[in-house]
Amino acid sequence: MENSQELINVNDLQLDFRHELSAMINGKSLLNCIQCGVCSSGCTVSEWMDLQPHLVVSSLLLGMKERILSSRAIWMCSICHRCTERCPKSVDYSFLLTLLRNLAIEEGHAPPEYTADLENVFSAGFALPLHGSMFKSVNRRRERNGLPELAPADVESIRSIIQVTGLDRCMNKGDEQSNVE
Amino acid sequence: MLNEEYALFLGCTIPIKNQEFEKASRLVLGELGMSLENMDGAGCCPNPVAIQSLNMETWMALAARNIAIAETLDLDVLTLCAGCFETLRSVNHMLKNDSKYKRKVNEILGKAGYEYMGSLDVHHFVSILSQDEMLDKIKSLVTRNLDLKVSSHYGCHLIRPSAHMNFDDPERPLSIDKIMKRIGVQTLDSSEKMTCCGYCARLHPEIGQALSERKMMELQGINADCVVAACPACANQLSNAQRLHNKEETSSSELDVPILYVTELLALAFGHEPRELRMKTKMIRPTALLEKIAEN
Ligand code: SF4
Ligand code: SF4
Repeated sequence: MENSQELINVNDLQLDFRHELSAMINGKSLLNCIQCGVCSSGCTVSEWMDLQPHLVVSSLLLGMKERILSSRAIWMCSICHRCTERCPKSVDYSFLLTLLRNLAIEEGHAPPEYTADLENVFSAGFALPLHGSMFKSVNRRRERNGLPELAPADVESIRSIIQVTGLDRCMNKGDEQSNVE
Repeated sequence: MLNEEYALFLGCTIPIKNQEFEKASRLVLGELGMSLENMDGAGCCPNPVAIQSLNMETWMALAARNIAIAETLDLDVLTLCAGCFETLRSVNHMLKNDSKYKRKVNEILGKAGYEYMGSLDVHHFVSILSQDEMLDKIKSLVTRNLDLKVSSHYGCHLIRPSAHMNFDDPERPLSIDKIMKRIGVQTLDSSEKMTCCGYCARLHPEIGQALSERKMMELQGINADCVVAACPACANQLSNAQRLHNKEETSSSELDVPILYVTELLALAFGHEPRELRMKTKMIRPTALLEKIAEN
């Protein structure tokens, strides 16, 4: 991808990928792109991107599914939503990136930083770790600060949602016993 | 007319890590006549970057569960964090406008014993306090003259995507500046004012460090007394980037621009003492700022 001179074999393209993506929630806007480059010109992280936003969009439209799903570009974004805000054709690029991350994760590329958050949410309902005696010590600190007690999350229902939506497969099975008391 | 009662959604970072922000917010919102109900059983919003990136459906269903708790109280949701605001406001907007997804999410929630109806709205304290009625109330409660120059840090998720957030301009927002003006604080404009803190690019921490460092250098250069923020993730990132910069042996200058929450400045203006607000526990100590306030 770094080498723009590279030849692309049409047999390697998944020409229906644009339809797969545009059928996902809020995915339709992908098809509007006119390759004006506004998204890339205002992108917060463009100086670090290996592939600029408008090139990600054109690659998607061409059907370069595997190369995009394994690219660094989809993980570098700071989700500032400037691209989405400025696109003259209402392409919701920052949202499309999230859909791409979902697809990459289905293929097994879940970043450990994200699954750690998920494991925390599964364990006690909050994204920060609260296992063992931690919940009690947070509440002791809250009391000293004159704040009301933090109520525990309804962990059972949270776990049910994570399991029903199939996301428990992303978790380190070994961590499941680290539940709240 | 604004509501007087809200369901307070605390999220994770504020009640666990940044209790000083919660403290100032509860003080100020109470004095402005707002009463806040606890949302028992609520959990992570969930996080608009990690959980949404992992799976859109899980993200939407967990958010809808939190909103459903407020629905049983029949109160609009009030958040103290821009990340929680983005998640809950976006999901609420998407589900209210898409009956197919609403049905799908309710199938998931049904198995967990909840139902999302779509009967209420989600707010951030900035979206409430920046309304004219509140701005007047804010002005009437000022007892301390804060002779400060600050830089407002909106935080991307407070104002974008505007299709969902929709209470301020997505590129030239004014809400925080308006609030500051009413307590007599001057807000500074600069080329870095709207720069993202970069925390959400957290898989590549060097990006956030570079963005925040550049921003803070410029704000120090224009003599900002502090940054005023409305998101704990931004506030922590902007503080931490300065700490890391100062630790670096190659750094030629020391950065020391304190980061205050919008409600912390309001609490100071309403006459609360820095001690009560635990101002000295901040990572970047607001020493010069507190001296300035003491002189007034
Ligand atoms: S701004 Fe919109 S239309 Fe222009 S290149 Fe980017 S996605 Fe395509
Ligand atoms: S949301 Fe991501 S891709 Fe879009 S402008 Fe911001 S950093 Fe760039």
